[in-house]
Amino acid sequence: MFTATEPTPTAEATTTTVHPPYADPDAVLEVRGLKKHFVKRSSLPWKPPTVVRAVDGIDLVLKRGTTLGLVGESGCGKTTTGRMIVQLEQPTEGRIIVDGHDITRLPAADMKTYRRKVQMIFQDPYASLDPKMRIGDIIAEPLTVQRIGSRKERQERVADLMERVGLSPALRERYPAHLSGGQRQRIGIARALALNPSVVVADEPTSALDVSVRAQVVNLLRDLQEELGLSFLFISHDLATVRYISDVICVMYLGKVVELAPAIELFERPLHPYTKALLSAVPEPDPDREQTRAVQMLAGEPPSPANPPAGCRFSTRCPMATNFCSEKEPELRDIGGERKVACHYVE
Amino acid sequence: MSHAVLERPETEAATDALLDVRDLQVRFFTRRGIVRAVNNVSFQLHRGERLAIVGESGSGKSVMTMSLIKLVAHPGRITGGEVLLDGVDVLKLSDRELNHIRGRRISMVFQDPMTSLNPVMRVSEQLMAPMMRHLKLSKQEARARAIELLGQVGIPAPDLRVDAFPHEMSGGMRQRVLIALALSCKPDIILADEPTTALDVTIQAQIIVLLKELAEKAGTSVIFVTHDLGLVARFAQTVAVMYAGRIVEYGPVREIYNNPQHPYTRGLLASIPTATGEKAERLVQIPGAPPDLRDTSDGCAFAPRCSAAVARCTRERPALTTRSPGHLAACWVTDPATSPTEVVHVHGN
Amino acid sequence: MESVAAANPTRTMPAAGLAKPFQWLLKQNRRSLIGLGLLLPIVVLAIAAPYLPLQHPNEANPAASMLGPSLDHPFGTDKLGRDILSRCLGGARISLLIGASAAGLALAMGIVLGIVAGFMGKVVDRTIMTLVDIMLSFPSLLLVLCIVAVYGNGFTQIVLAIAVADAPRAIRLQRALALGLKSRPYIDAARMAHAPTWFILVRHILPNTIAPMIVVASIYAANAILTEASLSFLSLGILPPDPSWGNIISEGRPYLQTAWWISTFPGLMLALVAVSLHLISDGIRQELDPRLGA
Repeated sequence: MFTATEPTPTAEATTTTVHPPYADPDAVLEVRGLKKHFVKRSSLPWKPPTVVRAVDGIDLVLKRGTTLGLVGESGCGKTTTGRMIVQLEQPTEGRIIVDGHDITRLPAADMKTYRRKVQMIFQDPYASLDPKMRIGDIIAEPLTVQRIGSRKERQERVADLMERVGLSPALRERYPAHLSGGQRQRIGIARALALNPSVVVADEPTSALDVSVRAQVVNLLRDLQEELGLSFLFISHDLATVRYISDVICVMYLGKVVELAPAIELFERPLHPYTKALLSAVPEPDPDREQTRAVQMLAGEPPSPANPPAGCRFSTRCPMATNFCSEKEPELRDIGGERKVACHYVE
Repeated sequence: MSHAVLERPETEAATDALLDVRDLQVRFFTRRGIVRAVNNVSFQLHRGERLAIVGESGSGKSVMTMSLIKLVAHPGRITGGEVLLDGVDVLKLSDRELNHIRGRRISMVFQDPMTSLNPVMRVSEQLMAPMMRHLKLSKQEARARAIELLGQVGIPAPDLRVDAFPHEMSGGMRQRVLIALALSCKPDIILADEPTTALDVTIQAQIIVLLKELAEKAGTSVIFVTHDLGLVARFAQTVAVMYAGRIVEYGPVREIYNNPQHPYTRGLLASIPTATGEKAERLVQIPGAPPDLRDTSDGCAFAPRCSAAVARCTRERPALTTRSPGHLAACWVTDPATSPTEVVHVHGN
Repeated sequence: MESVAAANPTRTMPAAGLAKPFQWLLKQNRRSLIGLGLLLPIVVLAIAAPYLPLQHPNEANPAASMLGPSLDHPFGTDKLGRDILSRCLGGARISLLIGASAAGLALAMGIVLGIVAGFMGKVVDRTIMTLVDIMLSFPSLLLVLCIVAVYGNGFTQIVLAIAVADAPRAIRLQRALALGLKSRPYIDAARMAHAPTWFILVRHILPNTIAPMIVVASIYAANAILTEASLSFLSLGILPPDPSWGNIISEGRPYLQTAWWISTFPGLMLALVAVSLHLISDGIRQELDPRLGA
């Protein structure tokens, strides 16, 4: 079984407002030096434990009312990052700052209030709803648990939420089994909105849906962002969808951020070799283009997060890698125009 | 139930067809009702052709593909149609005869590389078994060929890897092993059911290129089942779009993408975001959800979600008609030959 | 708008609460129907026994001793002239009662301890499971015998003994179910709302594990009934003159060649009840299985 390593204690009190220069006033969510290491004790007592460095020091900034897309392939740590931000996992190191408050290690009493600020939409519409609960109760659960409002007020809020996500309130007495994937995902969205959060972490919200339904959900998220001024952290491996919905995109590889750029820039002019390979690998619905172009292939297999390569983590597969790359790990450098890249050879 | 006789889509000369599927029908007899999973599906596959079957959940694409080698699980049954492989109806063969076909003339690559390989058998054993059986190779010959195949699918140091267990390999490697397995007996047709869905994008790209190259080199036909329209664009020569158990559009890949004739195809193409080119202002969404296949109503199955539906669409199911050479679609509204009766749109917009 | 799937009335699921789906399920399933068909008459007769025109189970009538099955005595009489049918029904009351109570108690203990162990994990889990493992290392009948030998063979003691012997299995099962559910996203979602652990256990874990427990409930009951019969057979459970299937069979043992009816009828009833309970359990499992899947 995996156990999280003990978080390193910080000197500051946990709920003080973080003053500038730490906090960006526009940022509703900030993450600094976030790490999550899972420690697995070896079955043999003399062997050292395996440490899986799922997230190994990342910085993120989510500006109010915008969407930050977090992309990467399996094992890059994007899902773990999302779970740490909503406090389903405790960070090993690093800080999470929401609305200027450092919430990394909140005592339980304050956690309750924090929950109202940051919520999550889950990937699997079938597993994210309790099959034994009625839809109205599922959406009302956050309100019930937090004892917000009277029963009648909660019912009204549920009806309001259901309408906002495009569901008829008449469905509130039904069970999730009756509904389609798209409808269930809408319920998940309604539930996430129940406490009026400022930040919503969407973890692959469309991956498990039928293709013809994905657009509905993505459009809904965009509309809700406009209506309610929400800020989204959109986690996905689907680059095309991320491009559509995000303002800024962050590319992760093996627990680290390799590139950060405004969405348009990232797709027009990818700088990091991994980003380039990733974009090249995405198949586009355009046969004229697809059947003639060459796809940039990456050598080898993705390394394990338990055993990341020395130096730059991408060096084992990078077409541009040199000896220097395997010696020194590149820092995430600011290269102007709100772009950051972690590569020795990008200007 | 009234529906016009379906025209069978024919690409080149009908006599050339390696696989000729006619009016295939599969039903699932469940306690909750009869599920019409595959309804009167007809198409042809020629030697070396790469056909993509596109659809979502409930379209019947996977069931249809499995039924080509009579692999339909209880409570499903193939209730009609023929599957002619070089003129011989596969559906009428005995189990013994079928075993000669499966793995030897038609092989499969399944979706999940984690569960498709036997975890307690070495890769070498799993690769060698069908070759020894179908091709009557000796153990040494089969092993040599297995190593050769692993090399062909791009597994480094195949002579060392061949004795590994599946759990010692990554997902991408396992999928390559599955492809090697599918190619081992030099089949005429490979059925690939969402072979890359469980893989990362960069690995997926490698696998697709591999499959394409190997199929081309060996002249093997491929039926590729997927919901990913990008993959189809990259891989396929011909496309069949399925909805509610029927083929609603069929044709050469460029035709389908550049000139889609069925509102469902059009809707799908308009609703997927792209990573290149113009960023869409707003994705066009298809309302509703894929239908319940227990429904037995007349009329076009897509009508409830179709923005172009007219009254006739809900009454009478359209047949596949030719729109341009080799390109067929089943839709009253987009068919230039249909007289526009009652152009009263059923849905507001 | 979302109309297609939602408006389709044919896809119905059993609603929350146990009564409605229970009846509905049993209506649909042949196995449980047969099981019920076998079990219900026995239960009804057992309950009605005191009101039936039968000889009292303990009433001895030496004149009518060792009579075979006849119209007066459908199951015959034993050495003391007691009516076997009446004794069987009396035994049924006791056996069924013990069976149901012991199974219910075992299940209750299993649910509570299993959920706690599975969900809370770590120390709590390990403590409970160590106890469970220790208990399971004893053959269950032996365990029951020990407890009864120490604490006596009254009704309560027997019920408790059987329940304690069966509980470890139930705890194991429930723990496995709870573990499986622990990582479901809807549990995460409840945590996101800041739900306390007890709330999650009661509101989410419990309702989703009830179904498999119902399936095993009847098996536990069958097992408990058989265990009680074994105890009584060994003269360690219910002692004569109080009737129990076990002790009736035991009394009839010396006379198997001559008065076969004394042991046979209670034996048949015992077998019938056990089989019917298993059939019911099978039937429920069949119904619930596809939906249990997720």
